[in-house]
Amino acid sequence: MFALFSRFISLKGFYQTTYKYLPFVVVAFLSLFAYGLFAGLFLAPADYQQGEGFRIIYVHVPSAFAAMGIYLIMAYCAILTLIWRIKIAAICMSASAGIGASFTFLALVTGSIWGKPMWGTWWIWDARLTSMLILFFLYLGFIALQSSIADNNTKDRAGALVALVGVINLPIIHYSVNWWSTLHQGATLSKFATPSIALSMLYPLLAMITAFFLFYVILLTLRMRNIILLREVYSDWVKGIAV
Amino acid sequence: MIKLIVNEINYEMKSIQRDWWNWIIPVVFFVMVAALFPLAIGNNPELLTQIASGIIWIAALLATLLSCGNLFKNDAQSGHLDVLLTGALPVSAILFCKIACHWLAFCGPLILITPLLGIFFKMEVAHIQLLIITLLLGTPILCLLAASLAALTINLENKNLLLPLLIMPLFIPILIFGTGIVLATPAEVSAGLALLGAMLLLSIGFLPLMTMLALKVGVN
Repeated sequence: MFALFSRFISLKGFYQTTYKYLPFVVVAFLSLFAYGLFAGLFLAPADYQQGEGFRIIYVHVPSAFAAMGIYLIMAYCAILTLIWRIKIAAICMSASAGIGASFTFLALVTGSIWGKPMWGTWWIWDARLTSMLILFFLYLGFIALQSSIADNNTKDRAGALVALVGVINLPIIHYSVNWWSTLHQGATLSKFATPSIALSMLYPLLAMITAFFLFYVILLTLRMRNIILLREVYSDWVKGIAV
Repeated sequence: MIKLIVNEINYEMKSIQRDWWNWIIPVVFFVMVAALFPLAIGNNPELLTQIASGIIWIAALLATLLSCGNLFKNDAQSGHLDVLLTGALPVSAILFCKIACHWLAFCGPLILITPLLGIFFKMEVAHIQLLIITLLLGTPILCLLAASLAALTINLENKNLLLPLLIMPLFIPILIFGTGIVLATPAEVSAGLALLGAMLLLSIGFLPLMTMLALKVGVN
């Protein structure tokens, strides 16, 4: 167990080990994604209120899940970076930011496409939409900060501090935005009440959520492998690969 | 120890006093930004009164960002910062005093001039009072947050653009409460003020520590 752990935690070990495991993840992702997409788009019944339009949740909900989950993963990596100076955690944090921002963007876009037929408008200043937009800004701030620092060590620690402050602030932002939307808006347009969801709708959704997570793992691994090569470009084992 | 900290405060106040034009600029900036809104939106008095607290808050936010960006610039150039970081004094306590001095010098004038802006926008007296209280509670949080991120970006080329980008999302809760309280019902006012106060206490407790960590990363 510890041997496996230590192999993953060293940059060289990570690079060499993930090469073997990545195909399995890709296969799992493709099968889950294919099932989720097919079952979500064709097998699941149309919603009695929203009709066929509800099917966008099979992209929207998983990307919103991923957007928030990836920020939490980044914050966890930030703790590992700040306290134990684990290099691989810092690389994971940097590599996650871009993917997280993309998922947040996807969630915003699919949400607004869903909102057009359901709410009759592309965008309303709803609490959830606004929180998501702020999360997007947090990601962008993190990426902007990291991309403007050249030194790797400073980059990791500065990014970790910002990610931590962001994650502490995230619940405060969430609740204050909720308070704000009740204060200003009133219940003019509330979401359709969906107390329970039919199982034929739920299983594809769960499959899609897992598939999106696996997709994140695949992208993350590929990006981390790139960053490792860039950072270790002068070490012997990377030179060995290049030759 | 106390004497050394008092010395530090004196030093800070003197260096702020020496650059007196530096704290005139944020005040002028604050009034100008607030004056731009009627020009952009139109001079409908009812509309302006309704959005006045938001305008004044955003102007204060921008003015504070402007002044906090250079919080550690002089100290870094003169080497004072290195002495602080390697010295025996409790760094976070000194940083807290430094930020408090900065708040007094730069945000104090903004709050003093707020009643004038309130009159410009035809706000009610009770609303102006509430606005001043929220500014008194909210701007210190902004200074503490801005200080910690200014410390982090101290050596970066593009910090003038980067700093607002990093701070604004983090500052949204304070903006929401600061402006929301002014027009809220009495029950919501006390709850909102209590929450804003809680955020201030939390920031006073943690952000000086964060600033110290950030300085160590930023100065390297």
